[in-house]
Amino acid sequence: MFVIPFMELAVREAEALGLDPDAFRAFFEEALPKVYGYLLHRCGGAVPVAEDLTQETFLAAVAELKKGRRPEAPIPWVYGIARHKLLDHYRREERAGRELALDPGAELEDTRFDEGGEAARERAVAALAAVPASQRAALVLRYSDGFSVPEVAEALGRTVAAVNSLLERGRDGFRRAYVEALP
Amino acid sequence: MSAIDPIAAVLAGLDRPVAPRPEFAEALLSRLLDELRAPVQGARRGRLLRFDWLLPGVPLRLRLALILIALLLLLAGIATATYFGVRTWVSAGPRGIQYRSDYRLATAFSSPGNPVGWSPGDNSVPWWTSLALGPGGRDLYAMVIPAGSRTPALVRVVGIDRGTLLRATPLLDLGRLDIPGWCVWPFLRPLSSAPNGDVFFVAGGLDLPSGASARTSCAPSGAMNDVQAFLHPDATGLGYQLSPAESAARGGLGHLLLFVLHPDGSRQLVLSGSDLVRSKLFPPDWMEWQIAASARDRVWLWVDPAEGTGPQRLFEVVDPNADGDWRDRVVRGVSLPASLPFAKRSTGTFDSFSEGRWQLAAEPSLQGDDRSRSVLAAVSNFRTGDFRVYRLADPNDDGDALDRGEARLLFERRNAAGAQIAPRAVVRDGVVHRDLVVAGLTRHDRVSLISESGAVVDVARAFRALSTVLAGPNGELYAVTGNWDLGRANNALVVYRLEPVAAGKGTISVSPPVTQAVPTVSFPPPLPGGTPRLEFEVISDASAAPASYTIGADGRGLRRLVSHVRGVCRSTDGRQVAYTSDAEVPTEFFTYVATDGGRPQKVTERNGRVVCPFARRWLLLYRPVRYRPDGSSVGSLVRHDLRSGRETVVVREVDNRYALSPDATRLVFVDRQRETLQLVELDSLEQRTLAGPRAGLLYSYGVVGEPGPRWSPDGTQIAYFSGFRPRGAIWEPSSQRYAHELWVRDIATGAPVLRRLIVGGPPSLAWSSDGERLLVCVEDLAFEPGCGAGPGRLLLVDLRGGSVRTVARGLLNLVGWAPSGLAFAYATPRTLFVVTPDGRTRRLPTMRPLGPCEVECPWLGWSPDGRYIGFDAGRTEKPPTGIQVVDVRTGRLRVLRPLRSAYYLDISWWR
Repeated sequence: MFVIPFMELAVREAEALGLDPDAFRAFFEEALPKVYGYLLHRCGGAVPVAEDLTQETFLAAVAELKKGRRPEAPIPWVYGIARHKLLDHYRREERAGRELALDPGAELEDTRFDEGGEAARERAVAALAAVPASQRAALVLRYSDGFSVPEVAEALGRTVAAVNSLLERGRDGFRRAYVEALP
Repeated sequence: MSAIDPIAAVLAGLDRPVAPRPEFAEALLSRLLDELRAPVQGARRGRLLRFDWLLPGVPLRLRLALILIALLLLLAGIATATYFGVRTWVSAGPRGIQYRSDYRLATAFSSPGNPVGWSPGDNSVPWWTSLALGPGGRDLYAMVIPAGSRTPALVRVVGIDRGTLLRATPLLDLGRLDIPGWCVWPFLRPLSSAPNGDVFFVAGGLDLPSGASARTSCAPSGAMNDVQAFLHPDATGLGYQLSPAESAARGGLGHLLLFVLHPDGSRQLVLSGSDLVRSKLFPPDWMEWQIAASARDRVWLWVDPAEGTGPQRLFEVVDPNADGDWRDRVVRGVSLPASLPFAKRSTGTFDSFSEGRWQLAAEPSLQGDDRSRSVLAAVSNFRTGDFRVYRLADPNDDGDALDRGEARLLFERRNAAGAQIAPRAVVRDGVVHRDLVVAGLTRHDRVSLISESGAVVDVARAFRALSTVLAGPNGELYAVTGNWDLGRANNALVVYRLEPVAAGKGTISVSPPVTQAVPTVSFPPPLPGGTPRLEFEVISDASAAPASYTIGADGRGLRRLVSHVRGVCRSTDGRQVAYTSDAEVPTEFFTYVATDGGRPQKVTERNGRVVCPFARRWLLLYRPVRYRPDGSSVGSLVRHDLRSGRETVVVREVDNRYALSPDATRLVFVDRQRETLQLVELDSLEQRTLAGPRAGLLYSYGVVGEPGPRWSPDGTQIAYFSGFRPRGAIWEPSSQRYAHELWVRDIATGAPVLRRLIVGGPPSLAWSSDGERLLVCVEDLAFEPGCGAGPGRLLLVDLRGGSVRTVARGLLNLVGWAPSGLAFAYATPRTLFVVTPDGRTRRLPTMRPLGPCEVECPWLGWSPDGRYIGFDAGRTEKPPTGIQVVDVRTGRLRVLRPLRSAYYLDISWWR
């Protein structure tokens, strides 16, 4: 079929998220639980932090829409904003020097990760909150968001070797924290 | 990470949606909707940048693309309008002066006479020695020696800024000044005006011996370092000479006087040369003066000593209280940095024109922009061709311009020596705009502007005999032209005015066509029976433009190839011609390349001569270096890329000893500094030495009238002569009796193929078409060089066997090989002979006597089909001349004179 490119573009733009309040409301209702859940789990289950980041994410989204941005896939787009907000949050935390003291001598070889269900998720979130912010960011991007190591390095502004080091230490910290949280 | 990584398995499960607190969700949505509706900071700017208001509803990319296209169209329109609206050249009638359309041209003043400069001659016409604009630019002042008079007069042309064809009225006869015997140097710039209407002029001069006429004018006598005084009672005509030593003994400087003429007609002596001598500011020797009045209270003087007696000096003469009374004037000498050209001469000669020239010029002071404490000096170095403009000042009054910023170089250009400047200042919208008006900067017949940033723009062109320029206070320019030919009665000084035209009042619509169309070039069609054609250039004494023609050997089929042409050159494949022509702009020769029937493509507007032949890619141009004081012909060889127009200097300095290979890909030339024979590949510009250097060895002539090495027809060998310069002798091969060596070298290896001693005068040579033999003509040295009219010997050199034998003796004029290479012809003044290599000589029955060669060297050439021998019999100074064509089989002679009163030049067979 013969398609005029500009016309196709115009049709797609008409379907994209815009400044219409009703359309935005629908988008918000669909996106809010996803964004909130995404942020809540990655910031150690801290509800105030998750709410702050959610608010920042949606405000940034609205500002972009008012600048004329018309995302064709609004949900992935708002996820991207949320990821940036989360990384900013990790950086702030890292700068604040928030570190958790972990027992370096804990035996981790037989750590049980095979649990499932809500309890395991809560333990994972708690364990994630226990690792330093830089390691947490690396872990989240690598394992939760599925980034490759070079992509993590690019997102965090570090070298690949540094990210590998962060991941190594982050995994150790996560294991210890997760084991400690086991009943 | 692999799926079995337990940490990955745990962390990957963190994406489960979680509903936030309802009150949080509600509050956030409410705030977001408010944000969405409210115009926030930057939102409008964002919309503006997206140009929503311009094309609502159109997709962003399309909108931006349309806006970009519109902007580009707008820019193109502005550029086009600027180009055609401002920079269009307007012609003052057919083949007249051309000027930019933001100016209007008018002939302000015209008078019979010689132009500004020195040329006393017989003084049968007025002799204009210097010009200066008066205050406000309304009047023109001039120093003129009227016809029949021997003393200058100061004259004024009123209303030069608006009138046309004005007349001059006398102001002051300098002969009435109470000055003892004196003469004036006419080539000085003895005239300058100040803003308050004062006119400063120089009078007086050399103290002549008793009995000399009080009304005598003087001029330098060539390079004799002396002064000629005219109408001395002891002699007639140009009778009296005074050496510099004598002039110094008579206090020559003491009688150079600087006067000021006030607006009310009163005059006052400002300074005498003896004042400078008395205050030991200057030695009492012959010298030149130049003056430039930069303010009502300040005059700058430049004094040039003769005989290298001291450094050139700048003087500042100041009226301390600016009351117009110069009795209390102060004179300050200003030492100049030795780095300035000609600031100090070690071995100076009187003939300073050969070294360089200074020109002083005062800058106008406007609206608080006071330039009275400085003066501009335009300096030309005729040896290097450099032209520089300096601003000189002595603001700290320490007697020199050596301190930082006191001698500042404002502008510099190569190969522009001799340009004349006039500083211009115009107030526009309360801002002072300054530039320099220059005559002869980009070309000798153009008027240009140099902006403060150093950018050069031509304003008017195609002036004949442009002499100097003046600049008025309202932006108007004056171009002064004159005829230097003393022997003609129609000499005239013409002052053209170029007034700036206000924006929107352009003269484009009422002007004649901008430039002449360059006519197309049509190659001549074949003649019946395959009759070969001759090609030649014609100069007519009827003032017609030179043109290139072809004509059949039988005298039929005359066709003009190119008009207004100088130097036509064929490409190696014969499909193109390259030439220089002034058809487009009169007197300005541009280079064109044309194919048969096609429109000529302009290759370059820069001056230059095409070196023949040329290949399709490159054009080799010879650009003469301006102003060689020794008169030698020196220039640069430049490779011009016909595709890109890019130019590359191949040889920085070369005389006439160079030759292009027959396929136009390689160049052989003589390096003037090292005296070596060099080979250059034109494609890569790789260079290697073929021969030399050897102490005292010089590479000399190839053929009579065409110096330089000679390529073999197949381009594999090069033939040349070398000669030793006798100890202490000046290199003049035509007049020195010594031996030459004939060399033939292989181009690929550089190895010598032949080396033979040739005893006798300037030899010449010609390759046979098969490249196996050479004809060498050795003249008796008592005859004029370049025109083989004297007794000599004709030698046949066989390259294969290396034998050399004499084949003819006597008065030999011309030599040429048959196309087959199996015969050659030579001419004596009355007879034409054809010789075969086996020695059989045939005398062709008839031939017109060859005339004396006074102007151009003769030519002999065998037609490509071998049927005709064409030759030029040499020419006298008076036309007509003719081309003689002999049928080799029948011996029938035909003299072709297809055009009346014409010289036939550069004759060759059309191939």
